[in-house]
Amino acid sequence: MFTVLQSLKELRMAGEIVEPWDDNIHQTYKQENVIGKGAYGVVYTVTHLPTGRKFAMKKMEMRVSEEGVPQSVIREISSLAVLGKKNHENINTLHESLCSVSNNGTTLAIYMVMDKCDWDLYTFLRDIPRDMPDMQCRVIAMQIFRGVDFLHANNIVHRDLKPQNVLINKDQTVKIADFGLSRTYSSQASFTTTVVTLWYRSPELLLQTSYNSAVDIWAIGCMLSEIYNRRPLFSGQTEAQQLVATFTKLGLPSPQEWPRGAVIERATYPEHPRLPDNLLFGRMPQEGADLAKWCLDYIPERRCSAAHALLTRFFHGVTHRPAPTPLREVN
Amino acid sequence: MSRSRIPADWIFEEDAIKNSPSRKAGMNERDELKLKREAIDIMKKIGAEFGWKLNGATGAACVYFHRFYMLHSIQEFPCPTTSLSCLFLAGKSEETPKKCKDIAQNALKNFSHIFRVNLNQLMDDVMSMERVLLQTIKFDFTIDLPYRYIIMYANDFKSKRAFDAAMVSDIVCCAWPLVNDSFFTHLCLAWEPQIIAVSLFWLAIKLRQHEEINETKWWEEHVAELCSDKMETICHEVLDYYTLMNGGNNGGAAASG
Repeated sequence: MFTVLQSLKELRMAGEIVEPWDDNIHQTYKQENVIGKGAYGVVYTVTHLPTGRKFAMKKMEMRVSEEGVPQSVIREISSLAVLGKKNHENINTLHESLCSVSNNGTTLAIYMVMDKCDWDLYTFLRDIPRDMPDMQCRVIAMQIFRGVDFLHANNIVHRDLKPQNVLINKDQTVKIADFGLSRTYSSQASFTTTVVTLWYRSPELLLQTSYNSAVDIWAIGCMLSEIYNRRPLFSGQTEAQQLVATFTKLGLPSPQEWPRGAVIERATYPEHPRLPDNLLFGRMPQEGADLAKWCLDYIPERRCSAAHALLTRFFHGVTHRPAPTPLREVN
Repeated sequence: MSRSRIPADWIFEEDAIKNSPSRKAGMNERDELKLKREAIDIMKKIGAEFGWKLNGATGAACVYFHRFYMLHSIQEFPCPTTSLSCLFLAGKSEETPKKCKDIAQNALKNFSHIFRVNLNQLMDDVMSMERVLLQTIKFDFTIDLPYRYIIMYANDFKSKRAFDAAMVSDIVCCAWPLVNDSFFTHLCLAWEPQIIAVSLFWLAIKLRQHEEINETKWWEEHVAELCSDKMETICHEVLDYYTLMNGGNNGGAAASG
């Protein structure tokens, strides 16, 4: 009955099949200023024209292979869409994803519409005039663990947790962002020249062995210290330097602790004693230092889970009740 | 391009289904269903050749297909190519990917009377259509199907109510094909998978003559406020489909005419 696919053919002859949709994005969202350029693409603030509500919109571009849109992209973005519907308060919710294809169908652009927050933790820590009170540090840390616990419970490993990906609002609500896309992006790496921060990477990631959700716990361990001390715990510029920075402070891992299948041998590194806790964790209270130590165990299986962390003494009596945001109720 | 609003859970009002883009563009209900069923049949057959399950990639493809035509008309995008792109996409989203070429070749082999283009042309069409699908369905590719609820209710019957295992599996064997055939209807657009599962399970219990089970209102712990009238309506969608099929031919051979 259908011998010719008329409409598709016409669209193909016109060279572009997506123009109407691109228009649609711009009819629905007014693009404002660029607020960030990350490994994942450019982030804009946008206004959702029908409601006037502000969002952050992330645009990612990737090449379309001869098998169409890559399977990894479909899997990961649809799992983010599922997560978005669950709407956890410490997760930066994906409200909508749109896509368009350009360059004669060779480039796919994906637009992800997410919550817009006031700061990221990096800017926040950089710009606050003085050290945060202990309780405020704990409230922030607790929310990071809660968000990550939710991700892990949904089988998502962030893999690139860092202060730039931890967003924070004026009411002290913390939201984890940029999760779930790391794998997509490592397979599409040619698109980005952005320098990736290595400061929060665990040794098993740096040494390119197999890894699991414990890499996120390591990253939180690093951030815990940074929240109190306002400087990164381990700061190397290259993977090699990052390993050295880590080993200089925590001591060289024992042969048992050295990750199996590591690309570099343990013998390459000089022996190093571990620094005492007060030098490592600075002004952190004892319970915080204990938790950070647990997060920074060289053996991933021994690190605490996010759920466990939330049960430690560090969080006893810590609560966060953000002022009710009217934003939630819209839509 | 029609631009109706998509409900967050893709469950539409009856009115919206009756006024689908194809209907608005002038197609009558019978033709709309006939063309859609032909395409669902294509998906089921090709899916089966790939060893896919209806409770898996094939089922997901069928749901994408139904959803797509709530936003676009058949006149604008003919069903057969859409069905192939739904398979292509569902293969990827359900992690049982098939090459675009395999899908196109299979379609040309089994449905040469429908696809009258050469292989390259068809592959191009499937690829183009994939993008339209992505733009329409917007990455909502994780589909919840009624099957898992059927299994859940059956397990409940066996464990919590200590019903005879053979009897329960007899009911499941009756309910399962009802769910399979629900893809030929608009049910997945109108009702949540749990409600479809409860209704068809309820029907299966009736068909296997265990009315006394339904008298216990077993579904109340799974789905709130579902009355038997509503279930009756839902079941009729599937039963009407059988009536229609029996009028001409038998069962699944419907679309080959």
